Amino acid sequence: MTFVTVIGLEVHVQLRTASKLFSPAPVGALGDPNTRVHFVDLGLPGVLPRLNRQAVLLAVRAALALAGTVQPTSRFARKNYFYPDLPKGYQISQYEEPFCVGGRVPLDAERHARLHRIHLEEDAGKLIHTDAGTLVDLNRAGVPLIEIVGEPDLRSPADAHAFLVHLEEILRFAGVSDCDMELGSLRCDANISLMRAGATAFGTKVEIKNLNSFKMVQRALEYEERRQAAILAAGGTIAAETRLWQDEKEQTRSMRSKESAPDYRYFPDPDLPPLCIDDELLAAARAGLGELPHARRRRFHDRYGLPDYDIGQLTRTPATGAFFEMVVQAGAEPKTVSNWLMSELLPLAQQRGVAVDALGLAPPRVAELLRTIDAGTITVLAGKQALHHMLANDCDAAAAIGALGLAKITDPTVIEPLALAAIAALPQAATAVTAGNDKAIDALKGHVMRALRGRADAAVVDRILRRHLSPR
Amino acid sequence: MTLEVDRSLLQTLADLTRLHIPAEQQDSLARRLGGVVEAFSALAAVPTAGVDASPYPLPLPTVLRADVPEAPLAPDIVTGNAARSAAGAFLVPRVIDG
Amino acid sequence: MIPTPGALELVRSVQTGERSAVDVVADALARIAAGDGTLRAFVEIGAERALADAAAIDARRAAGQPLGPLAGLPIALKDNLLRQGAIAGAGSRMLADFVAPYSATAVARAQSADAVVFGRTNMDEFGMGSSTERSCHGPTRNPWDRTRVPGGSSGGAAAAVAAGFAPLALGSDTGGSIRQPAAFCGVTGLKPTYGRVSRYGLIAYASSLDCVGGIARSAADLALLLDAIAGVDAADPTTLQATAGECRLALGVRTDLKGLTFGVPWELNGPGLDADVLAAIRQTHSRLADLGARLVDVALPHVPHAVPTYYLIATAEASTNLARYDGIRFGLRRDGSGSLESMLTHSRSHGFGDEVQLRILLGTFALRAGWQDQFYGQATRVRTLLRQDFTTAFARCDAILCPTSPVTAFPLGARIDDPLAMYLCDALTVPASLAGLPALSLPCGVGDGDLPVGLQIIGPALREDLLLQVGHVWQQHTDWHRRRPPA
Repeated sequence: MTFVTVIGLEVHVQLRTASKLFSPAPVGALGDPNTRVHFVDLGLPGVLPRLNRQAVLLAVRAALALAGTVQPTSRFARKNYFYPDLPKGYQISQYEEPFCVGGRVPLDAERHARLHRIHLEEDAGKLIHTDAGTLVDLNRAGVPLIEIVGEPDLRSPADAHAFLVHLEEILRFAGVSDCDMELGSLRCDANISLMRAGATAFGTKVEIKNLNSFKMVQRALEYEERRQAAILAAGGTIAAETRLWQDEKEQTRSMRSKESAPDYRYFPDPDLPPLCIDDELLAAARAGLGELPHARRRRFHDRYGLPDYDIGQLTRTPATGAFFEMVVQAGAEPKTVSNWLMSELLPLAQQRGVAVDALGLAPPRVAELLRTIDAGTITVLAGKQALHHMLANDCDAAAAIGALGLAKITDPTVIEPLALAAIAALPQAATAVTAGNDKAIDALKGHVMRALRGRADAAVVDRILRRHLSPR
Repeated sequence: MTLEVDRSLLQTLADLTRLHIPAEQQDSLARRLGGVVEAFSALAAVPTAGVDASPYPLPLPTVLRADVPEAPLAPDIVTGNAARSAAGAFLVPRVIDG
Repeated sequence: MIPTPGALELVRSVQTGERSAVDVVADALARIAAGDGTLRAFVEIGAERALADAAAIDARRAAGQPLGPLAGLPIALKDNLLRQGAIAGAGSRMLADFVAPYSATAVARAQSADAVVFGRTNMDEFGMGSSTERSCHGPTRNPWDRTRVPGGSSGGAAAAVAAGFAPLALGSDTGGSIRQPAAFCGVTGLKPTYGRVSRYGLIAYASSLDCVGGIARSAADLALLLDAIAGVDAADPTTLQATAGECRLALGVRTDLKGLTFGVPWELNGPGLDADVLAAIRQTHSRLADLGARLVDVALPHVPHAVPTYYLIATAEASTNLARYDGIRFGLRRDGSGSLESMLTHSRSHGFGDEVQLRILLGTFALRAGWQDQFYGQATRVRTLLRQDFTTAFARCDAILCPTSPVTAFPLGARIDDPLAMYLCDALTVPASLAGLPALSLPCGVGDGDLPVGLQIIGPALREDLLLQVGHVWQQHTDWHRRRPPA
């Protein structure tokens, strides 16, 4: 029996704001319990929610980046349930009237998965279980989230993985969220059901929770796919339930059945006026939205003719792509810029823990350096020395080359004595070359180069060495 | 549609909102609640087809706050009214998860 | 007519230095000490802090600083408004030990106008009652007849003003909680437009209905208070952006009611009224006509549905507003058998009184999946119709008249066992609450047993100035507000 797998994802994403969704308490490194709370976050008698404009703006930007339809008017609702991490006894969320309907996430160059909706809501607090009891920490309570609800368009666990990779990339590009699963700024629940090939109605779906990485999402779905297929193949039925992924055991276990799902009694929150997203807010959200990664990849391919690998590296963050283009615009060869970014600048930036545009290297200076190398004025090795000098001394390429005396040495009267010295120092290599072992010449070249601290013109060195070692 | 408030419905409501109704009060409370519900059920007869629901008494404009964090509360204020706390956190009976 | 020293006179005397704030406050405290033993208008007086606050005001005057528009005025505070450092108990066991870590906006504004906000006046638990019998501190008694209720839920506030304990009281009105006790106690009470005064720091009963307002001996004194506390507040997103003019300055605009048209809806002026109330209201109508007002019939066809509409919305909102009382961060905690669920259930069941529990259950019912549309949803649609009724009516009149309550103060215990009978007491006050409109209750006569009867004037949104002008004209031509209960 063959089955079609149907998967839908629900992703919670923390918005990158300075304060909480409805309170002025700071958001940030969480620290000691309850050190990031305001009266509003305690749900104290008499407090009222105050909606954060930046949270709305980032949510709208996410909606635009994901091609959703932003609703001119939406509403906040109360989702009522009791839990110690929920201070008011209800979560402020959006229910019947979310701020965004529809949208899509690319899965690869051709396919995409549709979104059902995106809504704004507040996060709950954190529980810490100890022997003495459970501790309630409300630092996270009220942190702004968007919940992105996907349509059941995904047909494999690999699709689910691709969905998350692309979603994360888009949201990071848009500056909406850090999307860090380890820190909880991106969380994912998955729904999965199987239906017989050719069937039109979806099977009974199971929700999977406790998924802490994209790989875990894929593994859990693969496990669940096998589990459900085995049950169905044996003539069994799937129970509608929520299952918990246990990563160490590589399996899911039942958490609760859907029949016992609570009655949340959603209704409009009377403390919050309707959320009207006007043209001004829309424009502000759009203004901060740069080119999205898939569009940028296509453009880099078309305009610069770079290999796919290079494009992948250059479009990993908005800053990298922008820096690349600035250097190219300042007059350097695209492929040279790409090579230098990947081999020198990006590793340097990573080492220093900053973005490449924050290294302190102005794009015109980088372009000048690369032009000098391409023109043959200095060697690649000298170029790398010049780069470090530029960084350390905040100077341009010409100054670095001058200060370090890096200009390429092409004068045969300088090189020739050193070539002879190399032959004298490495008689075995010299003999080998004469005997026809061409590779052995590298050792002699290296000797000359070292003597001139890498500045010698490799072609001139080669020519002179060969003249003295020509087979007799 | 009419609806009788019996012990079972009363129990459902009490569970939802975490109230304990002593057994000896259940019948009388169901009667009181039932009387109110029955009287209020007449509201369903008011024709409201096409009428907008109004969660507010007056039209209210959207109000947005600038994203400027304020200093968080001091720990003694946070837990000052809590019956039980430990290490700055609120202490509750151990929650059994899942 | 003999002028009664009201809030305005007291403020002037403190501002000029004729009297010290300490003297004014000490005078109020002495009257409370002498008279509140049987009335129980206050659940806590806080004399020490009140005198210290007054002394601070005197010190500022002595230092040559100008004093605010409420200088030295003692204002009695309802137990559901937060004042930093004081208990705010909302008449509930749940909050018996809750110390407010911040002040309500209305309180802070009154204080910054140099009022001495003090005490905690008794109230029905969380505002859920019309008689102040539903307080964990026991009932307050009506100063006019101690066997009767003062009305509710701001019964303590109304009794305090009626008994002369304080010239002004801050209260809250969700479905009549300022107006009805003001009527029962023969004082003047104002429920402002929804959103005119910030709700920040008011312990919520029903978010879309709760209003902070005041009780005083005259409309003029209420104008003084409203000017000090009204206006947009960043902490309450439902406060109204519109600016309204100063009410006190508007008072002098009229000396009579010429040019004003009052609508008299049959729905609020006939059905269910006790005969003595009806008689007093008829006399009031003709007196208003004598003062130059034109009275016309207007229709509010959905008013007969106001009580179920109000109670379904109010209890639905209350059922979730009161979900925060879980014994964890504040409020009463009972551990029960030791599990989390047991702790939650025991804390809530011990902390909330019977009426509060009944309303939480009713509200939970109204919001339940499958029934929500028929109950809560239908109520919010009828609310729209009711609002439209008022809009239509205000096209034909400047304000709407009716009694504040269909009955005068009833005996303690008379309605406590019958929730529906208690709810029907609110039939005349809940329409303005549902529509968010300002409404003023003025003493306008007496019924059987010499008990006060209140006239309610409902105005268009943000027209508190008009209501207070009319009230002021009325009080310049009548003596009802000058009557004092027997000592």
